[in-house]
Amino acid sequence: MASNAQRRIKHVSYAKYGYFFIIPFFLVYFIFSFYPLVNTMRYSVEKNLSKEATIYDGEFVGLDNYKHILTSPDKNAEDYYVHAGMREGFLRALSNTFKIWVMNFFPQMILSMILAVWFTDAKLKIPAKGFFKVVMYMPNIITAASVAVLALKMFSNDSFSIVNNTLLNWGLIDEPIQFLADMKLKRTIIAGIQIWMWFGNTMILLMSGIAGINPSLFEAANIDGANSRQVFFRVTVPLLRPILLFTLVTSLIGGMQMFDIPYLFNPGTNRSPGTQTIAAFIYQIYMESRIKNTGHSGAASVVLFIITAALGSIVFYINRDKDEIAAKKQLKKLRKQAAKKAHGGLGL
Amino acid sequence: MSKNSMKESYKIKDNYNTSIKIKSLVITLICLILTIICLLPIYLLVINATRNTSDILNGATLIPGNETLNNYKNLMALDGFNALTGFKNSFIISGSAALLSVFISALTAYALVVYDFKLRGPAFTFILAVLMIPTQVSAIGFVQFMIKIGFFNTYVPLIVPAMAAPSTVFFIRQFMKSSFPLDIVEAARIDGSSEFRTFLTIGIPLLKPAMSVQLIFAFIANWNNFFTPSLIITRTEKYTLPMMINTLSSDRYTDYGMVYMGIALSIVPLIVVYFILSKYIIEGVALGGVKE
Amino acid sequence: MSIKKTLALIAALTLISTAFVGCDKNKDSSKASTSDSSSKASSSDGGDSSSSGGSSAEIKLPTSGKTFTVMSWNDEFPKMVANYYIPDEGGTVEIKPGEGGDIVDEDGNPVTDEDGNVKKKDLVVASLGDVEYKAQFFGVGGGQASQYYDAYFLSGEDVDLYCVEADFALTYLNSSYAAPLSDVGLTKEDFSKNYDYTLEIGTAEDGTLKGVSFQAAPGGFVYRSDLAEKYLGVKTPDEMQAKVKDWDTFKETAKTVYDASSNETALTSTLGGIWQVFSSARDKAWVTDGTLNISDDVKNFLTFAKEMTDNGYVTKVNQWSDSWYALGQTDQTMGYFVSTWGLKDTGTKNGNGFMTDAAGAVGGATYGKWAICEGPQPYFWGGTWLVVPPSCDNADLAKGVLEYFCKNDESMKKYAEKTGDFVNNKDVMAELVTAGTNKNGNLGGQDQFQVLNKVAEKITMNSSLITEYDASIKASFQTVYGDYVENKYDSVDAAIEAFKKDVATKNTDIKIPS
Repeated sequence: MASNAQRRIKHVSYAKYGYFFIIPFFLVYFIFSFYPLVNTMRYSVEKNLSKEATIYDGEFVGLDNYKHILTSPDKNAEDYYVHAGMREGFLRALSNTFKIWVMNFFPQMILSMILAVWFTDAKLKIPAKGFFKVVMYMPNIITAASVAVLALKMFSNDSFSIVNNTLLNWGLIDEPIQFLADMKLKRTIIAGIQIWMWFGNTMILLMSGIAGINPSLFEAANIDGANSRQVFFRVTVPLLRPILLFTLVTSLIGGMQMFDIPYLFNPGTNRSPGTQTIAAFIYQIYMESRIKNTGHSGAASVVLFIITAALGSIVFYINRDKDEIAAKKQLKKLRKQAAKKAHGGLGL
Repeated sequence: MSKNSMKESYKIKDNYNTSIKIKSLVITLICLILTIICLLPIYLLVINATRNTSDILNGATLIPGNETLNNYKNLMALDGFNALTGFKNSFIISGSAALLSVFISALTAYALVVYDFKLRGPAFTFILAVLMIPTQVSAIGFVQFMIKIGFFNTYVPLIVPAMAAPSTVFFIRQFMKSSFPLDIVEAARIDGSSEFRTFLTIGIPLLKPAMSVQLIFAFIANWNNFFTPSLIITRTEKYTLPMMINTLSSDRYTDYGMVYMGIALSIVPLIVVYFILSKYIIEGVALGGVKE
Repeated sequence: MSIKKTLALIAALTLISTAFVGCDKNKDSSKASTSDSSSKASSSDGGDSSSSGGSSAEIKLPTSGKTFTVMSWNDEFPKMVANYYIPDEGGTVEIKPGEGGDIVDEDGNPVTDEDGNVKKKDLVVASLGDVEYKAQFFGVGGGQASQYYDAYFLSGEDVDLYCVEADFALTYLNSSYAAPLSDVGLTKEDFSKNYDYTLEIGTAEDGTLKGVSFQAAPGGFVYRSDLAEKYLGVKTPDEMQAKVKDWDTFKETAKTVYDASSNETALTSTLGGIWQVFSSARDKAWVTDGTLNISDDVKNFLTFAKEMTDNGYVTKVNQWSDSWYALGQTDQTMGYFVSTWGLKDTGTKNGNGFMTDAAGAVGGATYGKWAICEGPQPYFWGGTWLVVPPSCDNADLAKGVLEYFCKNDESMKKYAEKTGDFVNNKDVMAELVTAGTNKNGNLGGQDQFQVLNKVAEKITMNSSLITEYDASIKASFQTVYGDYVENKYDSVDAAIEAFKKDVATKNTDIKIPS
């Protein structure tokens, strides 16, 4: 008891260092992330009137920017065209983002899951597992901008691109495929690139999740005569649920901010709307307007923030420190008990 | 687990073994195909970087050409594209951002684990809460703010904000929680070491595994960043490598050998470094997944 | 000890944070001071209006700068200063061929020769007395200039004179980045020989002259004389003019050519070119009183564009693309709409305009087979206005350059004769037309000045047709008519609706009527 009290005194005397040490992080965070976020929120309820890029001159417009993005336009209203244009653009960007994400996430998840199960199955004799892991993770570290430009060159519409040329030479097609003209095809290619870049990462995450499952559970299942499919669906998947949820949500959040590849996959000045994602929408209505449109892109940013914050709270829940919470509960219990005992002592 | 099966009859065991062997073979084949899918685009890229335009237009091949030097020369002579400048710029930004962010994160994580102070819980909760907020949502406010304080077209907005990296703090804290001996800090105190020196001489060496993994990730993340630089930097001589690569996407570059050379220059060094450090990287990714 | 160190750390951090705050304050005060100086400038301008009767106003901006910087999106004008003005003033110029990087087109992409090699531009090293000359250009198209300019102005680096294009001239002329030319001692009277429309564009909202152009850019219809003779039996530019005198005749002629060439030859190359002509003759500017105008010309153009495209009377090639240049060396098109700067032909490898490149360079496949006539409507296309920023600290040199290229007969004539550019001086051009000494090799020796000077006189181009919104709206319209001829909209009205939405989202300060 005495040593505990001593320690507590000690901790109190050192507590200020805790503040000193976290100050740099919070200082930088508040100046460069939090303040800009608040700033963005302010822009979202204002309209920029300044024609010079370097000067901001805001006029309060209430929720007009949000109205334009989120509600359906009124044909007779004075702001009909900006309303309709913004709404169409935002909805299209939202739907593009979601379409690309769906085409990317589910195939990727299935592929990664199968690979993770194989790689962690001790019965299977797969040589050079380490090598496979390294190679499959590799695409993830490559600069997305470079991947996008490379893919652009490989999939160009003419018959000279690597893909068209090879397919023509092998006699699989008679005419070059218009990969970049057809928006559906274009989105599929973007989703394909995302899978290529991320399946290794997801696989390794799932592997470490499977490795964390108590091996005795697999053994028990085997003794009970479960086949590998039953083991997968009855043991692996349920126990992986938290990590699967984590992967799903982080992927959704990652998908919401997808920018580099969809944006760069549209060369030249005519960035086609068929692959414009939310992040690209925010970027483009800000950058490509005559007057820097801080209002609408600010509002779109805040909407994106709310979506990610909602998704992020799920991750928050998964990540929260269970030991800490358990320890705190335990401490409370002990204190209560101690208090009771103390009361009891008095009663005696 | 196979020991259990060994207790079964020999016949079943034989069958079992054969089926496992076939299954393993099939899986290995699938893995080989995936390996090819992962490597082929990069290989074709490198090969095309060694060929001239007319050869490239004639079709893909797996055999290198001998136009490497020419392509490189043409690329170096391009006006808007200067791979070396891009390299240098990206290196300055990514290097300083990674070093600073890992140091600050370690300091923060150290404080969150070692010291018991009133706001420790709220501070950690805050870091968890902002972990997932993408840069995109505050980009507009950020750019306007940078313009206002005169940091537009400088590297400050690309380096300093990166110092506050919630995910790095989170990772290092988790690492410390699982393996950091708090007693050693007490011991250092008894020896009369100052708190900051304890962090430098005892904390950092013990955190090295986590910090080096995060250093690699931070470097790659900053190296690959395209969104923020493209909002902040407009002057070609300050372009980062991804921005330089973007200029190559134009249809007007008809010298394909040169274009492939440019893309290859941006990808290959990263891959080489990756293969050297792959052990740590894969471990780092795996550690990041252990959230349970 | 430990506390000291930590305290030092904290102190350092506090310092950093106050540095940020301090920085913020500094910037604010510097901003305040710049706005101060600009208000000073405008007040001095007000004072000047009383004395503007005097032909030689005094120079108000400083003349003490050590570096004279001329900024443009491409190297054309910075090099003109180095090649003409500086040598004539006794300065030294060294141009290192091919050491300055690539030549880029309007989209900022390098221009390649037929072997696929990127064409190189020259490195300019020049000085005038103890002042060093700096040619600051970005190698991008005029359409992209503003983002480079904004960043450059923001960085606070030296700039003494810069170029703007008609499409975005008003954005800068009405901003704090343009000083009245009276600040460098020049008034409207100094430029009385300029073509009127160039002066009108150069006048800011407050009525002061802030920009002058060194060239006038009337345009004509350039056609292949051999194909014209083959398919239309036309022998002279005057006869050709009769075949393209208005849009109805133009369309009929296009049909004749298309049929006679067994569906091979389109009369003109791009819709962009046709729009350039249409847009010069619009009856209303894109925006008046803050409201978007969709005039009948716009709707007529959409209909016309679709008809021309569907019938193969115009190719589907885009302006400034590779194919646009390549077309000129085939029989797939018979003509281009080209204005003065596109017709520069030096007879050598360098300094040529677009049309010579399209012919496959001097001695190329169709070089010398072209001729020019006025076309369906008088129009102008382009022009480069010179603007002095309030931050100019070489006002004497800025004045000198402006006089050399925009005011003085002698130097302007010299430049016109050497390059074949159409200088912005009515007297000089009249003299050159009368003399008839200009022979354009690519036009088979025809003098384009004879034709273009007639066009220039006919351009009634009132400045009200030009607005600060043009660059943005033009880009939106190009997308829309491109989509319309590709059948992405059912009707002209649907296309106009899409156009209005696009304009509305990119120009939030414009009212869009339904």
